[in-house]
Amino acid sequence: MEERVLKVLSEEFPEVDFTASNELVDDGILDSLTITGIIATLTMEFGITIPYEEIIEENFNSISGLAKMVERLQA
Amino acid sequence: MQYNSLYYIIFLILCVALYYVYPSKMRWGILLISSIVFYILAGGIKALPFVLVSSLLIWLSSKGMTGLYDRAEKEAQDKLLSGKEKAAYMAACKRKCRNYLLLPTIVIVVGFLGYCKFFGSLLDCIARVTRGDRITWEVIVPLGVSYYTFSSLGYLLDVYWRKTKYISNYFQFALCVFYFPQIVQGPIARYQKLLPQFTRENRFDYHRVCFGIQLMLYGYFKKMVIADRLAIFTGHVLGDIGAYEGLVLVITLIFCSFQIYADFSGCVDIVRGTSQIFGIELDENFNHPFFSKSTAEFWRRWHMTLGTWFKDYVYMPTATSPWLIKLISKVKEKFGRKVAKNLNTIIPLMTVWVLTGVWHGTGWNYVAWGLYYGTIITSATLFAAKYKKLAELLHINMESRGYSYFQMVRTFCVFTVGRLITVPGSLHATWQMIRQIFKSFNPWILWDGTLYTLGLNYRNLCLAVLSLLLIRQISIWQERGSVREGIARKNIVIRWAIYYAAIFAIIIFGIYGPGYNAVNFVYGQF
Repeated sequence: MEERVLKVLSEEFPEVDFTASNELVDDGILDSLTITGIIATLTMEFGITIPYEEIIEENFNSISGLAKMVERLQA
Repeated sequence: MQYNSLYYIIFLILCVALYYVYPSKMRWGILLISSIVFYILAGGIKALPFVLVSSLLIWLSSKGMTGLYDRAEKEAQDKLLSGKEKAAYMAACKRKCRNYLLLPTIVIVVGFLGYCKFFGSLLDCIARVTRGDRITWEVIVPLGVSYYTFSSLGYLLDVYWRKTKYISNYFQFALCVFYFPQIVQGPIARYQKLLPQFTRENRFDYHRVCFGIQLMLYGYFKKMVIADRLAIFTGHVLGDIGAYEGLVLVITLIFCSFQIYADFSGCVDIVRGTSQIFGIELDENFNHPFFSKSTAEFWRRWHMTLGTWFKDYVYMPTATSPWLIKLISKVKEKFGRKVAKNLNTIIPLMTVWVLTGVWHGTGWNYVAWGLYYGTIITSATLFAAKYKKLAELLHINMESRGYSYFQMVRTFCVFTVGRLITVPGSLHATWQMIRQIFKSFNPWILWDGTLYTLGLNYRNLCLAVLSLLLIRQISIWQERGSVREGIARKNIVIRWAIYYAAIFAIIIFGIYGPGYNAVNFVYGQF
């Protein structure tokens, strides 16, 4: 799942290096505009609904956090 | 009772004395009583019931939601539900919370805020349309209604999203709402950050109290020496826009920008300093916004708590709402990925900026102000790559110091044009001001003495400009590190010389409002 999420997001946001950090939000690599773009992309690509309570730094700080969230919401 | 009045200082001294005399367990109670007394003195007793009812309603709603969630969790556990079944069970509970508690509370609280802000304008509008007399109706606007409503709604939404726990003690919740340093002009508080500070043991700390007083002095300097002085100039010109033209109006607008910064950030320094004396750290609201290199950065450094409130409670929920994502999916199918991505940027940003405009004031000029910033920030985001390419084509070194200064000046100009939309009072007056600006080119007003006839004489104008340069320098030092820490490290003579200089600067150069001729009284003898 991690690889698939990374591939999808790297295609959509080529300017962002998602592997650069495990604290993407805390390090300022992801701003609010990119986060909303990520949410829209994941929703469309994986057919999930991301509830607002899932939008926390822990889920967006790394590719593994994002992949876990997608898996959880698909379950 | 305003923060820059002598009554406030006396009130504060009494509160601080009581706060530290009583045992630490009772201190939050002292703060609550002090805050309610302050509210009655500053906002009048008539407004008090509105705040009490509003806070009680939000607290009851948060309590009700927490009860429903806890019960649903327990029932799900008893029924041995897990995975999708548990999620569906909790989702049903969430719907119940939303329909029966969250939405009705929001409608009532936001409805009351709308009534306070717009009902007077609505009556004016009806009178204009019907050409009849205006209906006599006294609208009671509780002091700080916009601030405490936003703070409480943020808390309520966080409880609904289960991002924070509800505050079980109503009186402690009421203290978060009423806390007197912040209720008038913010910062917009996050109660989950405030409450632990109220209930912990806040011992008297000489250094912290000194730091608080220093911050208050700096705030008073900005407010009374700069903002209130510039207000004389800007009020003089804006009171009769038709009588002035060209560069006079441009300089007035520039002064308006500095005036609002000195006024608002000065007030925030006063309230943050006050709060530090009690050992309560309020959120930063300004981070040297005039050093920003873009408009988006400017708004991340200006009125920061409002910006983060809109980001957390309007921007993100809008951008992630199922209806918008459905719309984007459809747009993507029909028009491609790029258009869909742009739409995902435009809709939430414009929503936030129109609402930010409406929050700042009533009237179409505030809607226009919101659209102005929404358009600038959205276009800067959408065309960022193209702007970069253009700079490369023109061989502009975007890393150079010169370009940084250009960016800062450009951001300041954008802000000043924004002031042009709201400061004159209406879109009609804005249009009149624009026409007056372009009516003549009169650079000679810079040296022929015209500027000294607009409410401020030569000495006062020089003082305002020198004070602005001083706060610019202090801001540069603050960017490098804590100025207050630096002062604390100096020896006692220098330290106290700085304190006395600050106190006397405020006493001698401060503007004390109409009817109090400070210039003749103190400054004239100097």
